[in-house]
Amino acid sequence: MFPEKIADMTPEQKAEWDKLQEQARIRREYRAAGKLDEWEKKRHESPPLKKPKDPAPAEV
Amino acid sequence: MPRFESLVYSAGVPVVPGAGQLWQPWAKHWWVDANQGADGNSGKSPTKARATLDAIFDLAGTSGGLSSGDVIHMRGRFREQITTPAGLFDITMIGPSDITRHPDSHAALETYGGQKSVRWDAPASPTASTPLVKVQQQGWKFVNILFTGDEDDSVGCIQLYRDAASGDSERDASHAQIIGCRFQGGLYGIQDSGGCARVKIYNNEFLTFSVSDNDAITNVTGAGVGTVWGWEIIGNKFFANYSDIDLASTGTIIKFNDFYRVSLGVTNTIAIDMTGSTEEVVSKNWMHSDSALSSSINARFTDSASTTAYWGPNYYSDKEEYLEPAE
Repeated sequence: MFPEKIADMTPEQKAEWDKLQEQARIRREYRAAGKLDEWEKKRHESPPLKKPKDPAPAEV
Repeated sequence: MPRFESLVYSAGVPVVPGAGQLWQPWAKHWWVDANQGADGNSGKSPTKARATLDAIFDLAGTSGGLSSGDVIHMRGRFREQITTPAGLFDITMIGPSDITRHPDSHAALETYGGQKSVRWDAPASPTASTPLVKVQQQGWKFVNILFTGDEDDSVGCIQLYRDAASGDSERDASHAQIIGCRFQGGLYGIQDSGGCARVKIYNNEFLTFSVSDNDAITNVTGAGVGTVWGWEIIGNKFFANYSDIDLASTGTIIKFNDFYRVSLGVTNTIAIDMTGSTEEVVSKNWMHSDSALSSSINARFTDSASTTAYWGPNYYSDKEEYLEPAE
């Protein structure tokens, strides 16, 4: 988990944080342009953006 | 289930399950009545209520005046945009009832002692891009208040602000609690700017943030010094919003909320968008729609893609779902 303050991050955490913020920034640009559907399509077509889908637990 | 629908009391202080005491036992109590108060009053009792929030905050720093940890009791309709005083912590601002109705002007009510509810509204000619309240220090609570931004959607309701200063100059609205309020319209309901931590948003209503630049709950990305760490958004209802939660954050817990897809003539576009987040928990929410939407991606729900995010179970009208729906 990231620390509460950006200043307390390791260089690796900071790099990951910056990447996440850039992703959020870009998505909001798509939103402002009224192109959320386009963003969703790109995201679902880009394997690095998505984690593998875990199987749901068996029903009991 | 933590819907927080009833209060209990400890040593005479009301306690919200999960949020603790609404104020501290050694608090001083201040009174402000927008309809029947007067700014020349002391503000020290209901019959000596001041009329404006600005006048109440003028008491901060005066001898025997408003201090950190105090309570401000509000009623009537306020039309102010304020910034909380620097250095003032742990204030509770509370309405007189958990019924967050509009305290409209009514002659008979004035005769019978004034309004018994509170609305915090934008001024008739508001300053654009300025919230109704900008919170600058830690530990503020807002309870049982109806917030309404302006009709032009240029004014948000509560902004939680954090900057990079240190010591006495530091401004940081972490540890805020917003409980039992109604947010109805404007640019946003609650906005983080700078990365405040440990914010608790319990049992509120958010409605009619209905156009594409509106959000019920959001943050400014890339601002400030914090990671929007450890927020809890629990037991809220979201109606008629274009966007309910659009939050880039760390470790946010979103539970027991209702996200309406179509209400009051508005079709929701974003229910939960965690892009830019990590390690969020989104569980046991009611999504008020089928999981799939006409064979397309259900874009109302966007997880962070963090390998440590946890989604599910969440309840759709057709099934219980884990992770994002309709992938």
